[in-house]
Amino acid sequence: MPIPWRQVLAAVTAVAVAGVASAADGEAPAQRDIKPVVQRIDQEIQKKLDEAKLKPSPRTDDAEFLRRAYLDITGKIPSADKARAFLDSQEADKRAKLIDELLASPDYGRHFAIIWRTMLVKRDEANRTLNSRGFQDWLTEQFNQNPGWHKTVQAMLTAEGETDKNPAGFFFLANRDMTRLDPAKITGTTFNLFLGVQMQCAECHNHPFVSEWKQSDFWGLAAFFGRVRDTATPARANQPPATANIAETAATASKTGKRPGGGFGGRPMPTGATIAIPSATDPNKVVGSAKAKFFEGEEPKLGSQPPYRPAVAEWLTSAENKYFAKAAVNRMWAHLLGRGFVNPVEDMNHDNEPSHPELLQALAKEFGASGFDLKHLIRCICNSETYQRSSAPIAENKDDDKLFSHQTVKVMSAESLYDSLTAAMGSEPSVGGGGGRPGGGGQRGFAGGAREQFVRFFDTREEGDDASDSGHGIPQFLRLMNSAQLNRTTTLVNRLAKEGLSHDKAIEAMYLSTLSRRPTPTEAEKLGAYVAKQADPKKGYDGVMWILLNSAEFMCIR
Amino acid sequence: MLRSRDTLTRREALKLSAAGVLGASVSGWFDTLASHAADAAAQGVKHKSCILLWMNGGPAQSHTFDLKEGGEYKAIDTSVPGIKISENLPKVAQQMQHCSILRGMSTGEGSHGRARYLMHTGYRQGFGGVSYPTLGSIVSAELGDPDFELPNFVSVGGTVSSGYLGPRYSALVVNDPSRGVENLKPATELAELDERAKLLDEFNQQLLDRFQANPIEAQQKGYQRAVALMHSAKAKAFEIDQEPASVKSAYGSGRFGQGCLLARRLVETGVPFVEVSLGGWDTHGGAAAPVKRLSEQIDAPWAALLSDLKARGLLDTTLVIWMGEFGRSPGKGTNHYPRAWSTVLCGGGLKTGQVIGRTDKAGGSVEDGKVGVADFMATVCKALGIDPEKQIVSKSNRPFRIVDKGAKIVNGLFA
Repeated sequence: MPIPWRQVLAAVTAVAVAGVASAADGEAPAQRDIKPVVQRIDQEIQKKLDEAKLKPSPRTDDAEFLRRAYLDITGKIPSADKARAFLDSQEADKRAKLIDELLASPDYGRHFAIIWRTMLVKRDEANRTLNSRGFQDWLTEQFNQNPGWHKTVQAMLTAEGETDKNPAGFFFLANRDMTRLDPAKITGTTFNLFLGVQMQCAECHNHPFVSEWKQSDFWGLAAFFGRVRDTATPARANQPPATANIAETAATASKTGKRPGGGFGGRPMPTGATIAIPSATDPNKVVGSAKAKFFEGEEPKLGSQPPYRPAVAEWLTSAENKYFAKAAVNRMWAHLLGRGFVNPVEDMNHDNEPSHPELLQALAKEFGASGFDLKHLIRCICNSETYQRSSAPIAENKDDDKLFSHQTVKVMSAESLYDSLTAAMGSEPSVGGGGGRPGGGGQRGFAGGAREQFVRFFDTREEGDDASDSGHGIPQFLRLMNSAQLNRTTTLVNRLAKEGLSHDKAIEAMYLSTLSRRPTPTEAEKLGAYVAKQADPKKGYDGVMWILLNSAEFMCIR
Repeated sequence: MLRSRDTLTRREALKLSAAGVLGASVSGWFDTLASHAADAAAQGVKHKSCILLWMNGGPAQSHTFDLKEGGEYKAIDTSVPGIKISENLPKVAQQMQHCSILRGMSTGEGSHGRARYLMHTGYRQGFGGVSYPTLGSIVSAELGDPDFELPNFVSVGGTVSSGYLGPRYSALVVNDPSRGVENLKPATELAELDERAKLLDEFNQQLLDRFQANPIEAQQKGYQRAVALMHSAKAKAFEIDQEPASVKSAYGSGRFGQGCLLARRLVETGVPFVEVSLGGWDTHGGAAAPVKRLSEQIDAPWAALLSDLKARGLLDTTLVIWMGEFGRSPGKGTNHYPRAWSTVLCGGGLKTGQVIGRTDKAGGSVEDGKVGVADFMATVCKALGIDPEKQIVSKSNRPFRIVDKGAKIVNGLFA
């Protein structure tokens, strides 16, 4: 089977990372042993709980685990069939099996691609018209193929050529200042997302909280990106080019600095791997310059001509880098546990101590040793007791929100909400045994194009919000409650009515389709009474679906 | 000590929770919410309000409020002796005693998107790698009552994002003022919705009891508020059809006029910030013809808004801002021009009936009373009773000032 991403990488990545075996070579290699890592996670977490005299909450029940794992790993709820099968299974290792199954599903890559595309392509003015579909597809392939996080990051940092052929170049396109690629934005994103360090404030002045981080550190890293341009030229004047073309341009001294495809404003351009530092208040004024320098490291020997990016990509993604593996581990931990070891996740600095420094260190080391294998990392975390704890606090840990004594109740992302609503409303296969793929493509629950509109409306989280922030306001609740689109539960309801199920069975089917569990006796009784009152049971079922889809339990990952 | 937004919301959540542990009956929620409103009224909690009339595209000052000799329009007298404005704004001219014209705007950003952001937030776009909140979000966060039944920030026709303040302070956008809030009507009969909502609330409460988690509480509370809004008499503020015909005709039938009428109704009900936008001011082909047409669209509604607010005793507490993202080049008003242009501030308890600032004979530069972006934002904040120097710590742990350092308040506006 051809693997396009490898060709892409071979073509554009001149970086060899020593000592790291590619997990994607040939047949799938034997899985790396997770047991010692899982044990280490639970030991380290328990150690801190003991120190704080806190007790962990008990293990979560199967239904909670099922829904949590589905939403965390694939971004949507299971079908009622899947839920029923998992709940009824007597296999002792069914949780471990489910984790493997979900990681092998294409939905895993899709889910993480959406998460990363959202972070990499910020919703700013310059990106308003950027169609990043191709980038998301490329990311999906990356996560599903799992070449190692270092390779994915290298592919982005060193991307060359037309972005429709090599979508990794979107990394640069998404960091523009209206028309030009912006080295400051590229650098800020790189620090943030790949190193877990917040350096944007050092764009304009020395870091306010970390005295040894200077403005020159920010621009030292920016200097590696100072030559990267979008060199595409429009076929006709006043028409945007069909595709962007990412390239590092030769460092010839330029009189005006005005170069095809961008350039550096009207400022004079320094030569070599050096960048001009613009004034914070007047972008046309230069206040200094910086030579390419690794963050908290040396100035590498670089030629007078580019490329300069392979050097920074290699340094950044090496197992020795102080931040790279930790940043990825911390972010993944926060995704799965609702909170990082370091918070905010992109604010690692010596004044912001991790809650579990040894565990973060150990997981970062394991991540590096595994070839930056994200699936391995997820497998280790999700198989731990720590991940599999109930999110309901107990008396002995109810005030803890740092030491992972109980799981965090998180809120679905807009994309997950869309996919989960679609799965619950439209392609319910459990009762009739139909073959509809739950949530597949979002074709059946909503009209085409509705997905983007829905996500725009419901994606209300902003920078710095964590997973337990709801973000939704009255307009979102009103739409969920009252819009015709979200009251279209007829597919499932009609099927239930046609099958002539008892009210109890129908209510159970609706619970399995929406909340991935069976109702409690009290719930069954209350809803049974509600349905029994309706002259037309279909209307009663519509009401039950409305209640379940609008419930906090549906919206939350617990 | 810096206040963390995070702490604030947690505290708010606790406050909400204290108020929100409600009985199972549906009417219970409404009673509680209603009594909240009554409490607020009894305590005399009254904030200032702001209506932003946003002229998208950049109106030509040379054809509106800073006419020059030999210009394309004639300047006419206003209700304030000595102040002259465009002949195409005769009704606004008669409200000049409630207006102050700032003729010394000088803002340095001439690209639409960036200038729109700049004039809404007070900050250059991309500055410090963060998204700054628009004025409406600032006002909503600083003056809005979190327990208010209506949204604290309503925008007719769109605005700029709430930035680091987050979605709690983003605008409720109304696209068509004659239609009001979307999805306010239930998909079934209201009685049926109430029955469902009652069960929903019970289940949410059970979940909250067991998990004691903020997002569950936020969701439960949000639904309670949304249902309350559906029942609320205050939601009628969104129905401009309720107005008598004479009022409707004073505001006119255009979308901008309807937006102004909606703004007045919302402010009257207690909404602290309403933005109403009107596009079309990007007059590259010359300002003369289009600005005449646009002036006709704003003249009657704007004047009606001021006299209506005055008649209802709301003008002293309601600041009305008229502005675009920049002005236009002197003469024919063809090009973008941020160097010397005009904005208008009305009501709000300001010293009005005056002109502040002066451009040179040709209108190319400011001779006196120069007002930069931060100066303007700080002045607006002061007028509304917001401390422009206040620092807010975003969730990402970075401190931000509401208005950038070094701002000079336009003192002439304050008695």
